[in-house]
Amino acid sequence: MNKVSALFALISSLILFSCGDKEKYRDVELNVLGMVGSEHLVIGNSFDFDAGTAIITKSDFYISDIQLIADDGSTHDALDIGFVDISLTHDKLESSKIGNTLNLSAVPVGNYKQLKISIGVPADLNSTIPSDYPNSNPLSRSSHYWSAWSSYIFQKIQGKYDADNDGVLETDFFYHTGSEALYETLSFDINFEVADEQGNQLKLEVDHRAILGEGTNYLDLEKNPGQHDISDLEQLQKMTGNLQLSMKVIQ
Amino acid sequence: MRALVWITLLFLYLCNSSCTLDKLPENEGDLIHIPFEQISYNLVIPESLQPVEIPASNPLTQDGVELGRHLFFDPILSVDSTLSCSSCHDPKLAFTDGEMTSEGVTGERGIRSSMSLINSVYFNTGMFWDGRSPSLEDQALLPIEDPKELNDDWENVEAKMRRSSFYPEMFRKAFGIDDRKEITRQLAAKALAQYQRTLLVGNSKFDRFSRNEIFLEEDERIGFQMFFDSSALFPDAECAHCHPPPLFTTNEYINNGIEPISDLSEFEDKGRGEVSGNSFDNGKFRVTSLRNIELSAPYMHDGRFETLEEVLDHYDLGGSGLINEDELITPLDLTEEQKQQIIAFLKTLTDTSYYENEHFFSPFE
Repeated sequence: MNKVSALFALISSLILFSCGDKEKYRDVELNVLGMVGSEHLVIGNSFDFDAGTAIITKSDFYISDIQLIADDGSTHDALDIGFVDISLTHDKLESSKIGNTLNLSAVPVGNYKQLKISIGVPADLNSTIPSDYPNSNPLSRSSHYWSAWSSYIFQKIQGKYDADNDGVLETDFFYHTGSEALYETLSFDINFEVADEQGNQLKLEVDHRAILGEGTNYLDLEKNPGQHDISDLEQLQKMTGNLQLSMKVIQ
Repeated sequence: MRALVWITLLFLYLCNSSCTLDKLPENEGDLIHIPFEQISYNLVIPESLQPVEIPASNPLTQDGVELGRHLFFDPILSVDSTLSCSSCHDPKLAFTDGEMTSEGVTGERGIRSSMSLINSVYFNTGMFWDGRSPSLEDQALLPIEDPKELNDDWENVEAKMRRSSFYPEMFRKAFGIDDRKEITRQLAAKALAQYQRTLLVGNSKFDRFSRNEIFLEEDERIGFQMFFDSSALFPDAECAHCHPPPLFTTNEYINNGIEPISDLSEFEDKGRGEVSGNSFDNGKFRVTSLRNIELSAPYMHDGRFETLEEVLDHYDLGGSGLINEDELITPLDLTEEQKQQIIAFLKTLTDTSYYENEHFFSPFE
C-alpha cells in the first residue's frame, strides 16, 4: 500500500510540475481601423485636407513581419504576411467601426512592451509572383503586383481632391508604393497583456489624413496626383514616411 | 369509321404509355445496384495560371464533372427545352454568346451581356457582373428560374432529371445517391460548378512569350509595353492596373467611366450598388478577364462596344469623371497606331487550343 501511495504521489507531482511549467498560448486579434483624425473613415465621404476637401476611394496595404516583444525582451513572430483591405470594410460607418481583423495565432500568454509591423512585402516574398499562390493566400492578389517593378504593390491610396473647395472634386489622385526601398518597418510601444482567456485584442488605427501628410510632409495632390513610378520616389517616400505618424495602437 | 376508332385507340395507348414513362419507379433505392466509386478528376492547370482551390464540400470527381458537362449543354434545364447554359455560354466564343444581351426562352432579353466562364474557378470575389452570388454552386441555381433566362422552376427541373433515362445513373455515379428521388437542385448545381471549375485556359501566345518560347511581333511588343507601362518610350496605357496577369483581371468591381452621367443616382443599372446597398458602388461592375477577349465581343457589362477599337477609344478619352470612377481611368492621348498596337497585344491573349478538347464541348453532339 505504501508503494502504491508513493507511486500516486510521484505521478501527481509530475503532472502538477509539468502543467505549471507549460507555456500557454492565446490568439490575439489585431483590429485595423481606417480613420480620418478621430473619426472613422468611410470610403467616398469627404474630409478636410490641406486647404481643400478630399475623399478616399481605395486604401489597402500589405502588413508583414508582425512581432510582439515581451517584457523580458523575447520576440514572438506573430504573422508573416497579411493584407488589409480598408476599402472593402469601410464602405459604411457601421462597418468602418468594425474594421479589418488579422488573427495573430498562438501568442504566448504574458506581457508585451512593443509591437512591430512592416508595411509591404519582405524581400524573400517579394521575389515571388501572384501566380505562385492559390486565391486564399494574400500574395495571390494580382491587383497588387506590378511586373514593371518586379514587386508587389505594398500600399494603395486613391481618392479625389477639391483644392479650392468649390464642391468639385477635380483632381484624381493615386499613390501606389512598392519595391524594397519603400518597405517600411514601424514599432509601437505598448503595455499589453495577452491574458489566458479569449478576446485578446489590439487596435491599430490608421489615420488617412495623416498618410496624405501634414505640415511639410503633405503630398501635393494637385501637382503630383498620380504616382506609380518607382524611379521617381519623392512622393512615395513622403507617403511611407507618413506611415508612422498615421498609425497608433489602442489597447 | 373503323379507321377513326383505331386512331382513337392508338392515341389513347400513346397517351397512356407516355404517362407511364413520366412516372417515377416506386421502389426506393432504385439506384443502389449501380456502382459508386468517387475518382478524383485530374485537373490540368496551365503553367501560367495560379494553383486552384477546390472547396472541400464539392471535390472534383470524374463523374461529377461529366454530369456537370451534360447538364451545362442540356436544354432540359429550360422550361421549354430550347435553351441550355451553353446557349449563352458558347465554348467557341470564350463561353459568351456574341450578343449585346442574351435572349431567354420567352424572347425577352436581360440587361447584361453574357460573361465568359473561362477560368471562373478563380472568381473569388463573387459571381456575375455584380458579384451577387458567392460561389459557382450558388450561381448555378439562379439562371434556371430567371424569367429572362431559362424561365423554369427547380421543382420541375428536378422532376425532369429524375425521370430522365440517364441522369439518375449519372447522379448516382457522381454523388452516390441511392434513389432518383434524391436528385436535387443542390446536386445539379454542384455538378455544374465542378464542370465550370475545369474550364481552364492559359496557353496563349502571351503565355508562350512569357515562358521565353517565342517572340512577339513588333506591334504586339509595343502594345505589351504600353499595356504594362514597361518602357519610357511609349505612353502608359494604364491597362495592367485592372487587368494584370495571370488572369488579366483583378476580380474587383469598378466604375470604368462608361456612363456619361453626373450623379450616382442616375445609373439605370446600379451594378454592384444593387448588391451592396451602397450608392458609392453604383455603376461598378466586375473587371472582366482579357484572356480570349478577341473572342468575346461585344464588350462591357451591357455589350455596348462592338469592337476592341471602340473599347480603346473609350479608355483613351478618360471616362466621365464621376465621383466613384476609378482614378486610373484617365485621358491617355494614344495615337491610332498605338491603339492598334495595344489591340495587337490583346490578341496575343487568345488561346483556342481548347477547341481541340472535347471536354469543353457538348457531349450530345
